[in-house]
Amino acid sequence: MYEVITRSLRQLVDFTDEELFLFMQKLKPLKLKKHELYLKEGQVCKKMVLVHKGGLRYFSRGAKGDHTIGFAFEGEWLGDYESFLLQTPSGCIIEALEDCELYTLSYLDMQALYQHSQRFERFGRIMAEQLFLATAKSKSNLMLQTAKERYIALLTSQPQIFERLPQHLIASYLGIQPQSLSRIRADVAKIRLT
Amino acid sequence: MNDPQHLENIEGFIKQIVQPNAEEWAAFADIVKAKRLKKKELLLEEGQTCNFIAFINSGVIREYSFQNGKETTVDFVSENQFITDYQSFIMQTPTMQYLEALTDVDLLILKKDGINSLFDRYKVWERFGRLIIERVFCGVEAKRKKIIATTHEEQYRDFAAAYPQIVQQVPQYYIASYLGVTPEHLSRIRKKT
Repeated sequence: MYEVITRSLRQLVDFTDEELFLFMQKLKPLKLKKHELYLKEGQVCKKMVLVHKGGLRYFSRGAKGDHTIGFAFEGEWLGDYESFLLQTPSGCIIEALEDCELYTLSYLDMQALYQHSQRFERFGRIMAEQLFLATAKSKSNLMLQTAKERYIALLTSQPQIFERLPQHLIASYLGIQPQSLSRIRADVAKIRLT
Repeated sequence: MNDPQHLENIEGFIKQIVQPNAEEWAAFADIVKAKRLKKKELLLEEGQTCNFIAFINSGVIREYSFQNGKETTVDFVSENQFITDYQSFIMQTPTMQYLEALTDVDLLILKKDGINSLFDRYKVWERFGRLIIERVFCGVEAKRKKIIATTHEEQYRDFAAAYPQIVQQVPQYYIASYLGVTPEHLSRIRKKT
């Protein structure tokens, strides 16, 4: 894991060995059981989490059911980054989809790293830029694409999700009812055959 | 060189976020250029690669694009705010956005080369860049969550509360396209709220 993380950090910024060691020291292990909550509605997201094993779901609760915002599996970071940055209460929930082994990085440790050197500032900027790009794309897809287009995009970009998640969560992520998802799946399967 | 008056607003804005010393501030002031747009003039158009971030001293700019062949308003930005197409600016890919002056606009332009050189030379400017893009991220994330979890009525109510001036200043059909509804639907929403 150490290797995997430090390599991915070096891809973004030219860190020294000392800086990488410092970063790794700040990561704290955490285990969650399936269905356990990492973040509850109304809590401040004080730590970002890196998934080592397992998977997490990020969602909000509405009057007509859950709205799934996203997922994270092995090697991916998750948190309510908005709540983390502003240190304000989150309106969202993060739940373990499976038994999970995680690493966490706290807000205070992140601030200490920013103080430590310009390279950590740059790392923080690049992370925020990448999250911005992903979020902006997701937002415009939600506004412009039909549910079927979103389904096909998900199938192409994250096919592994379909093996790990129950249908009702995929439907919730696409913003549709499970029945509509079955219909779309049948449609798309037909297109692929012909 | 810049008229120091032009930098008054941006200096106030920046110093709420970071505290550059005299040398760092001079290096920043050095990359800034003032620019004026007439009403309806374009600051950016589809196909160009966005190589600047602008700061609005006065006026309102509308951000729009053509989506499925239909002109759609993405955002309104007014004084004391930064405006750019961050996607095109970060990736250096052609933009799909238009940035149009809705009124006469006074701007400051910061070019990407100049910004990158500030990032390389000064920790304080790298930090400022991080804090700005974090804010931009929070803005788009809040909008995305809203689209996921709320109705058009709720979105209009929040928009009108956040930008009471823009609701007065801007034609209704722009606001309708911003919310992704027809102008008729928007006038029904307005009657209800």
